[in-house]
Amino acid sequence: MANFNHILKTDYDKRVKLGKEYVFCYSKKKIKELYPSGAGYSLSGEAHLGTGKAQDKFDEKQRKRLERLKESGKAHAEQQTLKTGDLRIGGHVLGVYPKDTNAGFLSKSNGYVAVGENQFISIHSSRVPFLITVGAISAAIIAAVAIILALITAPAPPAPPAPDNPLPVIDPNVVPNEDDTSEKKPIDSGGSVSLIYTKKAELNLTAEIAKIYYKNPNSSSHDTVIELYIVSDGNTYFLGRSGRVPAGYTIQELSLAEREVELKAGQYEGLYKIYFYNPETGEKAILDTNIAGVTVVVTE
Amino acid sequence: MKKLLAILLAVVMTCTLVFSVSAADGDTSTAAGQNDSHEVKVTVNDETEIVYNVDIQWTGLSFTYNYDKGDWQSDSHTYENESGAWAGAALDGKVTETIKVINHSNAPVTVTGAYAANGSTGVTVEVTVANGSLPTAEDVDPGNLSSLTATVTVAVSGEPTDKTANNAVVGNINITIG
Repeated sequence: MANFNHILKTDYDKRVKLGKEYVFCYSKKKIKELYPSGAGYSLSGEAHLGTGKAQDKFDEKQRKRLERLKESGKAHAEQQTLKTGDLRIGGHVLGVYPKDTNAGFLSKSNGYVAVGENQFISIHSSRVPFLITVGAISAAIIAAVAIILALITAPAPPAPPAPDNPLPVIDPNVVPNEDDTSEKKPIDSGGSVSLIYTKKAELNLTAEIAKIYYKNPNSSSHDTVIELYIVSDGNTYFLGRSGRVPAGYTIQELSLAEREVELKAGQYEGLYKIYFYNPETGEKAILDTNIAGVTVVVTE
Repeated sequence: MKKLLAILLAVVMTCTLVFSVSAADGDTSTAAGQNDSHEVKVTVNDETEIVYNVDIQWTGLSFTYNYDKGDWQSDSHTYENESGAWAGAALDGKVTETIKVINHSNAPVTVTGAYAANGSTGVTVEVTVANGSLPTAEDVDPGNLSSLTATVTVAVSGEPTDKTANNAVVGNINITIG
């Protein structure tokens, strides 16, 4: 077996890592510059970049390869090893194998070290670790993209079913009753409500607000909603509607923003319509109440 | 001297009093010691808004019609002996429930009732009111509210056209308080 020594050149243009050190060598591009026609130099073999156990592992791999060649009858009869020599680089000894021993996608040539006049040895390393890293990163990116796409395109979760009897929203103008110690009556199968009210509504057209007074005592079994109307020539004209007035609350203000009639300052006959809602089920009672004879005073 | 002045002062004050009363009535009598009576009239305008307080109590207002489609006749492919009746109906075939309206206000109220059907359902609902003119609750014993209570009777009859109806709302009851 031949022994090769790494010859240092001043025009090496590349360095590769060997263990904890760096080895200077020619790149493939530099070799082409030095030998444009591709002739004038020789490759004495190739060495695998690896020290210690990595080098041993590579040598073991070549031994097994020789065994396979022998079994297939492709090895020379006296061939004991594929190795053709040793290359000394710094304090390391690398096995030298015939050219193209590491041919293939899984191995790459890192550079060329000079071992004589126009004589080089190609140094190789395995692409496997790099490929594993690239594969893992690619798999992670693919998985992340798949997850993002799944989240973006996933159908929206089904909306929760709407209740059969949605309760009207509580009116923002309700205030708790003061000193209301009346006991709440159970609903059972019907209802028991107390209507406490005045029969006067004062409308301010500029502010679009009607001042009223309606109290739903705590003893009422149902919540209420109040509507105010003008009565004229037997017809009713809508002025405003409250939100829900729960039992235990009073309302003294209605918005006129949705009125369906324009009024002038003066006094009119009015009407309250009162609807009752079961606070537990949201069901509207089939009984409702009108309060007639309401005096509606309109100011601008 | 002082005594004379005091007497004179008393006389002057008395005369002044006499003149005040007389001026109000246009009476020109100025003699002290004369008795005169006049009506003093006072008018109080009470502008306090009345706060009405009315209770309404009702039962479920839910009625059940028991329907039997009868016996199946396989030869004619029809039912025979179909029958139906309102649960709890009286001899006149009507079933009733009541709504009570109680006036706790210091002013009288009137109570009327009405029914509005939800389309044609085959069900007939009659609303009648007894004692609909309720007096003020002033001076009425809170333990005896019969005079302050209007009774609204809801009578249901007829035959539902939809024999599969379950908790169907056939109409609305309206109570008007005036």
